[in-house]
Amino acid sequence: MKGFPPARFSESEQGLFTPREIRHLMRIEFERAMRYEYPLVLMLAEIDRLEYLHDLYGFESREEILQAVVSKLRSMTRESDFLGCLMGNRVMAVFPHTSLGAARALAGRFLRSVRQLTFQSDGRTIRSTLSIGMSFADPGRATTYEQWFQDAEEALAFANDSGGDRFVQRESATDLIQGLREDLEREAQRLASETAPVVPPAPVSRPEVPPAGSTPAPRPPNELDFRDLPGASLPERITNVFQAFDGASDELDRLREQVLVAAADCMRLAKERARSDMVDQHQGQIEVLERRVVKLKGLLDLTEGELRRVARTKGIDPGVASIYRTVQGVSGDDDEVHRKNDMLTLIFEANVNLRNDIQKKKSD
Amino acid sequence: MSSGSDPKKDHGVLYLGIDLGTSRTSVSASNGLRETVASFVGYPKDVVSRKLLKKDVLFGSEAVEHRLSLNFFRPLQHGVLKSNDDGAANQDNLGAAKDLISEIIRRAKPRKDELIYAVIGAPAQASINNKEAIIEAARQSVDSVMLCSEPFAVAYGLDMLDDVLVIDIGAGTVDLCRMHGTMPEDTDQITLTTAGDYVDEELEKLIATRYPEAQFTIQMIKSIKERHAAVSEEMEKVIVDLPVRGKPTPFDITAEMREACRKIVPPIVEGLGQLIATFDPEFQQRLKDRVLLAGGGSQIRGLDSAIEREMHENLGGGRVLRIEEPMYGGANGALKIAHDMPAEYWEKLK
Repeated sequence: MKGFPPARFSESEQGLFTPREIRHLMRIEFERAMRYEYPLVLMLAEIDRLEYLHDLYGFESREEILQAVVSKLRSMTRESDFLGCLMGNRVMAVFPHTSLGAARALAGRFLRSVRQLTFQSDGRTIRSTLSIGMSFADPGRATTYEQWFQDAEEALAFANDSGGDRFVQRESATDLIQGLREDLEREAQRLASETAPVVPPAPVSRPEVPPAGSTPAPRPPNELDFRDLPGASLPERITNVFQAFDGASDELDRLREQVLVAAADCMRLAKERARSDMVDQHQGQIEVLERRVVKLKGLLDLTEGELRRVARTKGIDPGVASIYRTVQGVSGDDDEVHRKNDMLTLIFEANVNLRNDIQKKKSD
Repeated sequence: MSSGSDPKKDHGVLYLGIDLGTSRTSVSASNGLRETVASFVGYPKDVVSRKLLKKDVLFGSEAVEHRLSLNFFRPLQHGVLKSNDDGAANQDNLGAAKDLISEIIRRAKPRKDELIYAVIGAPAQASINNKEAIIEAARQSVDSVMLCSEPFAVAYGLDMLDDVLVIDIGAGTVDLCRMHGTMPEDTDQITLTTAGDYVDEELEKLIATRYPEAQFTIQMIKSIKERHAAVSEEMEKVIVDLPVRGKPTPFDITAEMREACRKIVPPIVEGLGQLIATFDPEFQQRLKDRVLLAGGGSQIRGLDSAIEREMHENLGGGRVLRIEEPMYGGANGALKIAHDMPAEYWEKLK
């Protein structure tokens, strides 16, 4: 707590703490949580594609959406929670004395209530969604304020990159590996204890993303989980688990093969889903850009029309349009096209040489 | 967002062919416009004249008309920009040339939203200083500019690229150019200074000798020449009114006019002889039979026949063709070059 200057908290326009205030409070709260050993949750929330909405529907629409979302978040948080506007459309919230489960439930409620918000602009209905990155400070585990904040930022970036409308909790790699190891061990034990023959894996349906705020288990397969695994690959790990059993039998080998196939399928599906999400996201961006082009073209037409009107009023001669819209070149039908092109090339080269000579003369 | 009806868009590329001449500057544009302006530029001498003329700069005949109240410039001499003794372009003339080029481009009425690509015909033997000055003058008004030889532009415009001799008679120079299917080199071109201005000076001398009491200026002589120039024996009588002690008096200057105009014939035929004599003997006759007469000076009545007669006497024959549009022959050819030039060349010279 030493070294922190006393802050005067004046709330911003939206009734939120300013970025400086919320950072200050967050650091104080973090130090306090570590000292008095109570759980602390940090959430970074961002309204998805707000900049595009701004470009499409204008500044007023953007402000309206931001105000509505902030009001919604405020109505769902306690007086003892800290809600601050960090940068532009990013809201940061700190929840003291909040368990991980409660935080996940709260994030889920945030997502659902923002999804239900609708806005009207130019007769069109706009819907908004939220991306939330969450980081949990456990007093029982050593961590730093910087790491805690960075985890939340990375989680928010991942939620954004995954298409938005979701929350992501960033865990440390150690925790993740430990969780995976426990899952694998449980799965291996279950397989070993089952005596009935295992049926071949049915076609795996596309795994749904668990609704935000639901219980964390089973962990949704996603690229981050696999990518962050250090050391051996998942198939190697599964093989290692099976090798731990004595007296390997054919049945166990078949079982192992089937588990490997299932794991490979899951990974393939996860990748396909991530790719599909990315394509959807890019497609959305393309559509937004196309709409922006149409809008800008309309504005350009208006501006040109206005310029023509002013020119007419003031008697300005707009000029006479050329009959050519593009650069022509020698017609291919010309009998002497090659010879003429050679001559034109010579004229061009003579002009290039002339420019070079002029440059040289100037530099001398 | 739309304003209702879709306005017609006319964005495009405007090509300009410019013939920057000592006496006249002409432009042919790809929007169908053709303009010519006498190569005179004038700036009001003081506040009073500026207020009277209501302009900061005057061009062409308007500048000539008000030249007494103007700082008057004729920026080109002998087909090139007037320069100082050291060969560098005279800054006043350079400024006037810039304004002249801007004016001729303005008269082509380009739209603001169009790219302007221009080819300017330069005298065959212009110096690097002169070419630099022309490029510098043009750059402020166009997006990309190229220079080309004036007589070559005339031949290119007429699609006569093989075995042709071009005579381009301007005010400052007469350019002779031998075309033989490729770009003419220095040895294919001859520039003479016995051109329109030379005729004016000779006519002035002849009239002054015969009618010493007549009062006139070189501008008056130039106007008379442009109206009555001819070289044939059967030409109409040229009777002009010149002041004598303030009183307009008629003078017959037919013989003087014929004599002055004929003075340019021998140097031209001599130059043609040089170009023919150094050409492949097998094609010399073909070259002699394809002589193109272009430029403002080609409007001298009977000049084509006079050159043919002189060629017959000195070179054993020849046939001279006068081009249809002597005032715009160079500009039209430059426009055609601009049109045919590939896009990447324009881009590289931007």
